[in-house]
Amino acid sequence: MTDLLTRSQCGAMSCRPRFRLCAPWVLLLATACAADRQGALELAKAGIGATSAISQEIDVRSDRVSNKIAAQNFNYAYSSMRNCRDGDQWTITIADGPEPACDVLAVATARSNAPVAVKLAELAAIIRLRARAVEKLTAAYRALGSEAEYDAGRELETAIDEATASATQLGTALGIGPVTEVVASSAKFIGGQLAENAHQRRLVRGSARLQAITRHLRLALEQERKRHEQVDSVAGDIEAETRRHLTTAGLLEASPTLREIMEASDFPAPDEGSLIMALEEDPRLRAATQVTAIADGGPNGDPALSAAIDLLAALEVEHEAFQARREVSTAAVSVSIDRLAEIVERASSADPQAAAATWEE
Amino acid sequence: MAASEEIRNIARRNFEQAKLRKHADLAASETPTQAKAIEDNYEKALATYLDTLIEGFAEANSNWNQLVADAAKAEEELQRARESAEELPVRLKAMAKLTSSVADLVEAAK
Repeated sequence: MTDLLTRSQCGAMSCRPRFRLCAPWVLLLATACAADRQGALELAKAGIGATSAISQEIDVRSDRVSNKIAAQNFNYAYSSMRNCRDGDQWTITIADGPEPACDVLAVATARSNAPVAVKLAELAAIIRLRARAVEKLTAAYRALGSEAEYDAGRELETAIDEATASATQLGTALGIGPVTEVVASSAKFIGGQLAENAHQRRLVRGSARLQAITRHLRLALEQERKRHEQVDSVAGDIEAETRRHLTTAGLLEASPTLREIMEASDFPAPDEGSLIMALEEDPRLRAATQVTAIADGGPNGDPALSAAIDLLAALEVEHEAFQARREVSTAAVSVSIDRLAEIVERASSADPQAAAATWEE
Repeated sequence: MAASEEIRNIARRNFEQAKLRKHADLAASETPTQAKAIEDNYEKALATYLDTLIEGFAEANSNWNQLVADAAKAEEELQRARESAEELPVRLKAMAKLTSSVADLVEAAK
């Protein structure tokens, strides 16, 4: 994004005196001053960066909820079919078997209304609403950038209206209600002398409305975090049950867990071959490692959502600065974006490894 | 005790009971129908517990006292069935009854 008049040309966040020095009168009458444009562009850039980082987080979280539904279906079927045998002969059928509890298709059909899957699907629906709200908010920040670069007409208002509607939908699903609307006249008060022409008013009002949406999204995330923490308190049981079944089937690879145990004890771990040999030779070592692998590690909080909440709070601070005619600095927002990206990266790279360790054998 | 806390306590105890006894009951089960019933009970207890964790329980229903009494009675019945080493079908029915009584509480408090 470029700027017609840079801050180095015009100095600090003060418009009126600078226009006499820097801009032709035509420009003064028609558009916002350079500092306002620059501030709005910085806000747009920070907003797009923040919402993009949150989108990445949504992708990883969505996968996690789907994985829990799949794990619960697996656990149910593996457990409930344990007696589907006649002596040494398994009596599991694929379709139209005499015993529905032992028929793969009958059990699979019944799973669509499984109570735990329904509860987890409700959580997945909230994540989808958040994805849409974040997508609309990204579009609104892009429109703010366009408005700062040139007079984009109704584009900004329309994009903000859509983002407000999506954030309201999310808030309603989480019990915090609609976005608090910014009263039309308040932008003048917020921006003070800044809002002296239509373009300036649009930028200030746009910022105030975007801040209200950002705040609403932050409050919604706080509610969503509570839900995830509540679900995580039982999800550990689902995951532990899956590991138990895989161990029963002789499929749990013990060496990754043993390596983790050794690393946690600050004891240098030998190569993979030595670990596997030790596990094969010592049943007690193998048993202790399997117990550790199966047992639930307990909830460990939700650092990704906490980082996303901090990120939105940092963005709100910059909106306030813009509306109060202070300099907009995206440094704090950038730090928060990096922190969230790092957590998401760690979670997305850890999950496939864990899955591979569990499922590959 | 606040209604919400009371519901959560009963739901948690129900879920813990289901979890603790599940593997022992599965080992004692002989037919596919029994194994399925054990898994169904466990899953209903898990779903009810999830429900109680997520719901805020702002208001209690007018039948509240009766529902709490029903849930307490169902808990006692399950406990008796376990302590007297009742047969698996009796324990299964007691578990199902407790879970549905907790689910009634959750529904009434919504």
